[in-house]
Amino acid sequence: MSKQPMLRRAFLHGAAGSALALPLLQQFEGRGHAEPGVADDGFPLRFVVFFHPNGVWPQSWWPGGAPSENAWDLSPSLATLAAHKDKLIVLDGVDMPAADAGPGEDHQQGMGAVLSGMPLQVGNFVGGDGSLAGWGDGITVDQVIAQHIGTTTPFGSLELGVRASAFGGSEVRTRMIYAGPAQPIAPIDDPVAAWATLFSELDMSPSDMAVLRNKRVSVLDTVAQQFAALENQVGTEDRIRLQQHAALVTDLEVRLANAPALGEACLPPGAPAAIAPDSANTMDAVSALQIDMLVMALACDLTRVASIQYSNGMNHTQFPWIGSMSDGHGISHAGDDSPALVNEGIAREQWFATQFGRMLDRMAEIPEGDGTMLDHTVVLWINELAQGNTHSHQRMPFVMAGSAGGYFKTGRYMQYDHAPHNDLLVSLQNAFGIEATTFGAPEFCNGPLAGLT
Amino acid sequence: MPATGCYDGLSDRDDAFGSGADGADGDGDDGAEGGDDARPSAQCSAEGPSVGLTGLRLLTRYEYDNTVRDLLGDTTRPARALSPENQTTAFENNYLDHRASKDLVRQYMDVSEEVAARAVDERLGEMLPCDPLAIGEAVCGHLFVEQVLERAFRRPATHAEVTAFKALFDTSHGQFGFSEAVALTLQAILQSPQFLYRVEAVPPTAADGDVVAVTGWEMASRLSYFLTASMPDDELRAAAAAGRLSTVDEIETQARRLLETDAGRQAVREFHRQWLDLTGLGSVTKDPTAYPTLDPATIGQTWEDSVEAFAEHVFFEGEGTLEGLLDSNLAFLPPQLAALYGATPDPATGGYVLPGERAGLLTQPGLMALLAYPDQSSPIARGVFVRHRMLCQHLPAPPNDVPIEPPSPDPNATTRERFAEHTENPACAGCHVLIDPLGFGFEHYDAIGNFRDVENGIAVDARGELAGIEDDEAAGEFDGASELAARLAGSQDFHECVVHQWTTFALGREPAEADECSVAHVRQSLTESGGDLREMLVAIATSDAFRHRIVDTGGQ
Repeated sequence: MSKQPMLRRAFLHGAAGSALALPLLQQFEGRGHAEPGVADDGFPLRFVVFFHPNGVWPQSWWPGGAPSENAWDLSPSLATLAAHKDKLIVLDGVDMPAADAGPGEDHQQGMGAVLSGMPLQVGNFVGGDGSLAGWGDGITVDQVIAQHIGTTTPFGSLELGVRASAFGGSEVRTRMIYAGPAQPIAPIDDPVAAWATLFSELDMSPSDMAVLRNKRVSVLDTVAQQFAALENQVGTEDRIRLQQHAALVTDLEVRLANAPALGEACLPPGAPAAIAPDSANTMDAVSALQIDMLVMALACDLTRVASIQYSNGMNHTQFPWIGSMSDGHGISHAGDDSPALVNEGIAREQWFATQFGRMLDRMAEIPEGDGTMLDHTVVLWINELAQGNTHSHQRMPFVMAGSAGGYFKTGRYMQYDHAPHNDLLVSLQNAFGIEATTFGAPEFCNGPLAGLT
Repeated sequence: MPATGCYDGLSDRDDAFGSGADGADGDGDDGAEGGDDARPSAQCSAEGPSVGLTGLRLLTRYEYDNTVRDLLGDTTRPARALSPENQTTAFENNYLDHRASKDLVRQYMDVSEEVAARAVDERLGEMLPCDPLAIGEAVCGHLFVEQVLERAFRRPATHAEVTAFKALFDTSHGQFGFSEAVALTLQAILQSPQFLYRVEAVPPTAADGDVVAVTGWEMASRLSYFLTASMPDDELRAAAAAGRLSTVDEIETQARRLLETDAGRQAVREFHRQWLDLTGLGSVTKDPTAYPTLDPATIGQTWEDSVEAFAEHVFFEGEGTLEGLLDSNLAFLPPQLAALYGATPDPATGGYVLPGERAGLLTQPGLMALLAYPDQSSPIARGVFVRHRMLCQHLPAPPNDVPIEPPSPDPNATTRERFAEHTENPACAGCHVLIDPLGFGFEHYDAIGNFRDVENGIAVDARGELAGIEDDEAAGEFDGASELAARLAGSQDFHECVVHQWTTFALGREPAEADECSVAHVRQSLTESGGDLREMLVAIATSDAFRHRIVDTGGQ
């Protein structure tokens, strides 16, 4: 079936910022407090993950001087976030013991554990010590939160990437989000594809949309019938495979009835022009498109859980737009005896901070209640390593922005003494109304991270 | 010579039997599983066929595109919109990795709508087996359902299936009219498991653990997806319908026929794209100062095409042997790029003869460009490539605390001289004595695979050593890629690795211990045919593992 031509109501570039300063999202006001994932003021809560690879440069990443919880300065790498400092929590002293427990090398382990809190499975991926690692071994915290707060939206969650699958395709080092053990979820790297998925149907009239939905439901009913019949004719493992697929079809069918919130803050962007999704020459432009679409997907209530993944630990990318032409992973291994490479690495880290800042800017431009979308959100910035030239999983560079509707007390620099990062994953569950006391592998979890609320 | 010194040792996984349950034991320094035990000389038919566990295979993007092309005439490659397959091997079709996800399921819906709309808008007449104006829309719609299901599901449809899709057609016909009803029926077909998966049902009387021959229809799909990466063609379907695919002779005849088709040639190219990881060329950037005439927007695809074209040439026009794959100075490049390499036209093949010493696939310009930095060669990437992809060996990652950025270009030194620290520094030497001496063999090829005799005014030194392999006779020193290629081509290790790669691709999984006899059968065929690549593919198609399946009804 053909889709209606798209009206160009807004653009992903340029003056979008000022265009987003719009009135309240009336339809969210007055919703009951009992609904999971809805803040006390009636606005939806959102969870967003932001990833960049290869660890950080400690001399640039961590605050200088003798920082304390409430008296701290933004570090050189994070200086660009000055406008949002009171919305941040910089976490220091959080380790990732779950990553080190299983097979695999450090990039693999970090990717598999950072959102799941689980050591890797044993499998076919060759690790640095000769051990053979498999995929991640558990559902990731974003997907758990999506199951809780994302049932009423057209999409349970949205995974976007910026060259996330470049330099390795879809393997353990390029995947951080899992629907379950060994079930990695691939981010969408192509902004055109992301736009088509998210926004291409939002201009349809309600009646056309209803017809389309009816057609899809009758098609999917027939499809579901085929799965049910086939499940009885195949072997045990195959039946499980078909049942998992059929459950996804059912979920899709249910979600077709979930309408987006086409309110005033929802300005579906026009289709972006075709752009090479896997090129160092377009990477900064792709990043801007993906961030803007991610925030708009939240504003339109297409989803309440999202992530953006910048490349992966094996990337060989250059950053030509900031004049950094060395090999990405190569830079991350540089030591103090290679100051030029270290400076390139720091410049890239600062660029990632500007992208993080761009996302916060977009969210802060959308008024919601007494605050903005950012106040109803938690953006969690993660990495698969602490430091590239040690490959350590200790003192992981976690940063949070937004308070999840006042749940987290922000504007602080929090120091821990080797707290396991699973505790942070528990706190995130709690922030979105999941009354859990553990997450991931229990031997690496003590309950929620102290002092965040 | 065991590969000691590289941490715990070189992880030699080319025992052809995958990792499976013993996968945790990755140190692999216990020697030559593939080398010295008594090998069965044929498939172990005396004890009955033996085969590893396999499962339903979800169509890959490449297979989906080919299938809708053959089913509906849709040549737009719509599956490019689908999420990429998860991979733990070189190949996209591993059934354990490639499975449904929330995104795929939604994308299947979107793609099915687009494919169905195009089919109805552009090809409704040719798609229908009847004229709805002449015999009535309802009757014609039902005939269409009956006809399309058999091809889409790659076997005769059951009564229940025909009934279900006719019902969808009828309901849709009443609401939305004839062509939309056809479109919605197609959408449902394209999202059904019988289309998306290669279904192999459990025979009603089979017990858990039974080894059974696959049915004729299942065999037709196994053959067609292995050798043409698409649905069975009319001739294969006729053979399946007539029950002829139960004999090895007929399977061999069909395999030979499919290999000769255009789709067969394309599938061979596709194997090489995945085996050699040529997709990576899409991410490659070259220094515009050093190579100002390269168009960054198209060069990756051009290089990829040229490497695939070389493989196709060797398989179908050239010698067709493993030796031939590694011994040729031909390349298949567009004229402008050929000029950049100083290549001269070769009227006999339609390709170009590259200057300097060349080693066929190993020194293809595209492959050398892939395994290089923007402005310099990468002996490391090239050495690791040979270990991984040509010898099926695996090397651990470098230590965490060493700089791995290549040493900066130096106008007074060669690349080889700049990389010397690897083998001098004891922390690096363990692995790099296995990597660098292979990689240095390619030093005659620069960052885009151009031949050079001198670098920065200094004569190129491309001497190296092939060590750390099981075949002692093939191991030894060499000077340049040609001599390296000759050692590789003559080595048992390379033969076994190529068999392992092709078998993995054919089965959609790594061979397991239970497939040992089948793998031995394939190796033997390769040896006895003098390294004939197409004979190897026929041997895979006729192997026990390819023709049988083990029934998995445990826990039911």
